[in-house]
Amino acid sequence: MNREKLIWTIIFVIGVGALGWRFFTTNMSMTYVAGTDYEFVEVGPAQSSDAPAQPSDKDAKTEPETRWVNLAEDPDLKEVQSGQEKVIKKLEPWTTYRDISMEVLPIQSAFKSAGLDPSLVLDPVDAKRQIDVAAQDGLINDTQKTDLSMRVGALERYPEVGLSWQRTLGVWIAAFFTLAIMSFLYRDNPFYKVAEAVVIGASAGYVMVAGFWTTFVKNLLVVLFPGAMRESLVPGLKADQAPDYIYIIPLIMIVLLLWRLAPKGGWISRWPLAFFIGVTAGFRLIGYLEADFLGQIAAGVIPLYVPVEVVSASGTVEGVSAWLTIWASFSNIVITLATLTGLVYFFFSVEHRGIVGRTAKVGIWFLMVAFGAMFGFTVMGRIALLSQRLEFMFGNWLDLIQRI
Amino acid sequence: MKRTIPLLIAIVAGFVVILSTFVPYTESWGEKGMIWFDILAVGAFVLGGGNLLKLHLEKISGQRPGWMYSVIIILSFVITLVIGLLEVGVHPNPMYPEYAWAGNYLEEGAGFWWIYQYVIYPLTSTMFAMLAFYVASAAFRAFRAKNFEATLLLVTAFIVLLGRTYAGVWLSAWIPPTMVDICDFFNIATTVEDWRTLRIDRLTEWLALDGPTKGAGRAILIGIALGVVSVSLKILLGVDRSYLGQD
Repeated sequence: MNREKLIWTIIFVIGVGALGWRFFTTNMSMTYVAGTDYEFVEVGPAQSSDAPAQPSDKDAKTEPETRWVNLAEDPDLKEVQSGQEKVIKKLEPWTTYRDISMEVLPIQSAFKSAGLDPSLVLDPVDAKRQIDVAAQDGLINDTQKTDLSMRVGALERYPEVGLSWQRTLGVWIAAFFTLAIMSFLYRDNPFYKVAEAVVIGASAGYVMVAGFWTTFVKNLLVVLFPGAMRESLVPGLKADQAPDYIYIIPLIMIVLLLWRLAPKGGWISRWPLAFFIGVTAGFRLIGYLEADFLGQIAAGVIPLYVPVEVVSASGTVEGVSAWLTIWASFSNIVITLATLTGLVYFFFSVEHRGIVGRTAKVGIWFLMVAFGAMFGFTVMGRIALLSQRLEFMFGNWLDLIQRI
Repeated sequence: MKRTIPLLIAIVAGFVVILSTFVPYTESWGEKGMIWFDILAVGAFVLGGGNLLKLHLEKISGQRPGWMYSVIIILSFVITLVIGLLEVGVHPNPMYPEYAWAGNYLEEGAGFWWIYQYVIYPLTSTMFAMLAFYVASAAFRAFRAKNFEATLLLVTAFIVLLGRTYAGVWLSAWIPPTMVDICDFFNIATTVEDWRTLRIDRLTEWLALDGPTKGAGRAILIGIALGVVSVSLKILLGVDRSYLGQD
């Protein structure tokens, strides 16, 4: 084993050991969730089953009115108990979970500081009992008792609080991928290549899934097959929505587009591609003319003298602020000059000599200032992203700082 | 068939969209065109996915260098696709509990949400964050105050970088917020004057959002708009046919 490999092995072993020790002794990467239960039953009028249906009368309602009730919210269901209604159908119950780590972790820290077992927090009722016992035993004072009881009491509004192993594992995977990408700063390596491969595959899958649910279903399937969609994916659709068969055209265009993958006749994909190009050209022409060309010209017509009034707290105008007026006017003059000289620089139909050349030169200066500012902003934007990733690594994963 | 029909499709589609802006009766045509465009874009995603599979399956079957990474690409693609399309872990919408498929595919805790939250987001945001290092190192190597223009760019970038950090605030915190005392000294009718505009953090905002950048940005936007309009016209008038390919 050469020297470099030995150093990396030692670093790796120490790192894994430190992570293992931290994982088993602290809240590192632990994600806590609160559950919301759903247990739906369909209830309807109790007497409806006794009344015979009247098929001869088409206008009469043959099916009784039913409704869905969540037993988790209304466990007594008084209408059923009193016999007014009866349960027609019962669905499999389910629970949805949301992240409440930001609420649980500070309470656990408070428990730890008070010398109590932090895992008690997950069962608020038992935790309160233990707080009382600790107060009786003199382990905590009255102020601590009140504070801890109040904090843990806030968790009682959740029917179920627990550790989510799926999300905790997710934090580890996210941390691994973050480190794998960052490892490229050292040099290209297999960890980076794996992360790169995952991002390519997962992103391609993500855009296809998002496109399917948000566009293909909502804009195409719903319009072509409203009845089937109402019975399956989009139950909120209006009952009287009729199919719009003109939407078969984009469906055919998709088939033509996919023809490109076939060994023969791939040229047919030019038809939908031409539609793409045509629509894009039409929209861009109008959009850029309206928003960017005319919009920017309209926004560029600004006063060169901008008096800034100073208003007192009572609302009376105390006068015109000399400095702020100079600053605001200077600002508008700079904007106007930058626009005009910048436009002259971009005007290549005239040779940049003489007055045009000098004006274009001033335009370059303004453009350089703008590029410098844009560069600074871009770098700072990336730095902000980096700090977010570091916050995740040191907060959500290592639990060394407050989580985001 | 191969060139004339697509040319006609592009011209008609483009002019219908333009017409829909000016003729109220045809307004819905433009909206429909945009919806069809979105639907077709989903078809293009499928084409992209198909291409991805084809390319990497070929690489795997040929055992070309790096084929193991192609396996990872295909696995992550197929897993994401299956979990997202089958709505793994998604519960029914509480408003329509009897419809098992009516839930939100991005529901918190569901499989697709998990993939986005713990795989896609960390990977993409870290990749973008890494650009901070590359942009900074490239700038360090490329930016030299060789002439006046380069110096302007360098100084502005320095002020903006400084102004977006605490150092910028700290360095110019000594500038008084008002100039009331000075106005009194020169016997100028005083009001509350704001000198804070000269502090580096404020100057950064002015430089980057309001002053020269706004003006130069406006000139750039007008130039871009004219460029886009001319390219669009070339396509719609059939002058530019490069999208039709060679044969």
